[in-house]
Amino acid sequence: MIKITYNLAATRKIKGWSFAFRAALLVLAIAALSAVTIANLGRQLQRNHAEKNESGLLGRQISEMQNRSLLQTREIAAWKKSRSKELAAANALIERKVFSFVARLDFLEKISNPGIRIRNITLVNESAGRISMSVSARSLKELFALYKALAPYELVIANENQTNDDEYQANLNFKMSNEKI
Amino acid sequence: MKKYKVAVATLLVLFAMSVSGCLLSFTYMSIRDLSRQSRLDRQASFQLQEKEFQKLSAEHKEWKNLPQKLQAFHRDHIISMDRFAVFRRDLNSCLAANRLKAANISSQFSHRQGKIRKVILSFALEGTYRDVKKFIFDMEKKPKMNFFESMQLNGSAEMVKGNCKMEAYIGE
Repeated sequence: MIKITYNLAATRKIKGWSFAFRAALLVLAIAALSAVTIANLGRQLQRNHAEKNESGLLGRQISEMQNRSLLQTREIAAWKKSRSKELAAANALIERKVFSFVARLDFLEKISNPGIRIRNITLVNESAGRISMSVSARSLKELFALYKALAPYELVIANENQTNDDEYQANLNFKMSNEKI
Repeated sequence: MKKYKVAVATLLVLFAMSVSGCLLSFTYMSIRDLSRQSRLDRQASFQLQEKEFQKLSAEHKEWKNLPQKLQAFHRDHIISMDRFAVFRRDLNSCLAANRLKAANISSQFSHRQGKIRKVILSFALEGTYRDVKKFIFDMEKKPKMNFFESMQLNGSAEMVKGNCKMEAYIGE
């Protein structure tokens, strides 16, 4: 940084060119600093203006959104009141329509060994998917393999008998909902 | 000499003012930058509100379109009164196509609930397991609102005897 020294003594003679050069430097510095200040303020003013516009827009959008939300919430509540019964009835019908007896029979075919015979079976179309059946098995091993396969389906073994011809009979209840298929 | 003094003083004052002005402008910008964070927070909260609003709008649209959808559901899946005879013929032909003997097919009409009426069809059938299963499959894949309500199958030798209850929904 240039050290500027001024001799302001009354008697001393001031060199005109030197003074002019230093004064010019000072003026340049003032001009540069002023330019930076003006640029900063100008940029900031632009930003402020943009922010103001944006926040105004945001505020209007928020208020419009809130009004519409309120209106929509009211309408939904009214529609829920008037239409939910019909909707529930339709959904209940759809749920029962998608209940598949064939899928349950397929599953039982898949888990039953050749030594297992299903003597009778009752299937009910309900959400829990309750199934009752009586089975005969040639061996305990095959019967227990069936129990194991049915264990995840809330299996209840109502009774189990060993007949005279070494056959095992059991009455079983279990539940197989649509989600479990 | 006095002229120089005045000029120097003026220049120094101007310089000091421009330096302080420049510093103040930087300070002001820094302060504004700090306040921008709160503006970003406001924007984030707006975006969150907008998402909630979009969710609500989607729900609103679904509820608004519900009557048309229910109408389409009734039209496509509920058996009309004049098509019930066709459904019964379909049931008979499905039993025949799967070589099943069905006896005592009875229909019980219940009271009308809203726009639809439930009909319970009960019948006994007899055939091989494969044929019974194919019959169930054929009936299940029909698009109209009829389905098995319950079924009891008894296996003896190669034949299966069953008691079936079906529900059919007919519209006015």
